[in-house]
Amino acid sequence: MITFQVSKRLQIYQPSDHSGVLVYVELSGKTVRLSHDLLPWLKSIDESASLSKKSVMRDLNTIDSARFDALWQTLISEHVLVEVDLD
Amino acid sequence: MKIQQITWPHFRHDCSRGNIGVDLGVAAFRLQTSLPDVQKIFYQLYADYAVVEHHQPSDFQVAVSLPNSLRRWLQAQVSFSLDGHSPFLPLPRSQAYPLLEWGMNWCMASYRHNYLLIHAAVLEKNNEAIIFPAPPGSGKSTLCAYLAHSGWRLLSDEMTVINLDTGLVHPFVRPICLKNDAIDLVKTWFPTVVVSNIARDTAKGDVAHVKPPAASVIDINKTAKIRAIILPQYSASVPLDIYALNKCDAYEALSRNTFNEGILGIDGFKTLSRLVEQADTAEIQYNDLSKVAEFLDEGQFKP
Repeated sequence: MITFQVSKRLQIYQPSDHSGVLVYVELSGKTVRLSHDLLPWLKSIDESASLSKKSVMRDLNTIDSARFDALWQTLISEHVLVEVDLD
Repeated sequence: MKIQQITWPHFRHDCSRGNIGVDLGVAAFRLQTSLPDVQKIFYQLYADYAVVEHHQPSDFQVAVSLPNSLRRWLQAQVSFSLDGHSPFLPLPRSQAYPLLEWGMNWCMASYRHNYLLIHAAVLEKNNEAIIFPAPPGSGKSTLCAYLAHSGWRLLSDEMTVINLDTGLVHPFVRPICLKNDAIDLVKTWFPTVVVSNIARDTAKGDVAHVKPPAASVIDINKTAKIRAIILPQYSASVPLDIYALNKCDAYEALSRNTFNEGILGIDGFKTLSRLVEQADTAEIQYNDLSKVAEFLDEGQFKP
């Protein structure tokens, strides 16, 4: 099973108008816009924890599967989550 | 000492030798050019600026000159250079003055990374500034010229300079670059303002530069707190419509218009997010500048 860790030193900006969450990913130097309801999950992730698609889906059980698949692709492609090197 | 206190013959002499320095607050430029039209326009538009004396350091030593080639004589062109290096291809001779202004902007955007730099106009009233980030064609410069001559302090027409530590905006007061129809409009609205000659058929169309108000130049080191971020969009059919803009959208709009957010990395993100959080945000469509001015003076963004 492919496992992931959250990218190191993510910076999170939570706008006061709850219009979303902006996450700065140091690894890519880019800012990713995510839905406001992901904020509790983002804040709860332990940098050292191993994550799988299943475990993240379980943690985000309020999100329907179609939306989760799109979110998962975003988290991977934007390097919010990075694959753990098993070597 | 101000530029206007230098006699014209002395100015021409020093300018030809690269000895004219001008203090723009966040940066000092030293100019070398022997082109009489560029000398004359610079002398007019920068008349109120403080001189950087010969013995004082400058940040950028720039020049506008004819290239050393046959093009000097045949379909003449001009080159911009920074410290002797030309970063752009030459332009037609008639575009010499705009090339100088654009080159000076390029110097800032390429090297002044101790600030967050945003492609946006910024004006201030009662120590509270409003940023107008916008792509070309949005009417930003026309709006800026109107407000700058209607009681607002001009901080910049083109480049908003944000202090990474304090989040305050630093003035980068420069001549306002007008394009096409806006040139005659501004001349009609404000007949006493000094406007350069028109450079025809540039990449941006016809272009002229407006001398910034002297009061704005005097306050060139006076920072301001940012009160609002407003995305302007000229629309021929709408006198003034105001739309709510959420903070994530405002962040993304600002981010698209930054020159160096990527270079600044995490500092850029922190500065931009703090800026968005502290400011009110809105989007406007307009064709009536007096209504925009009224909204800014009397509306929810009243400073």
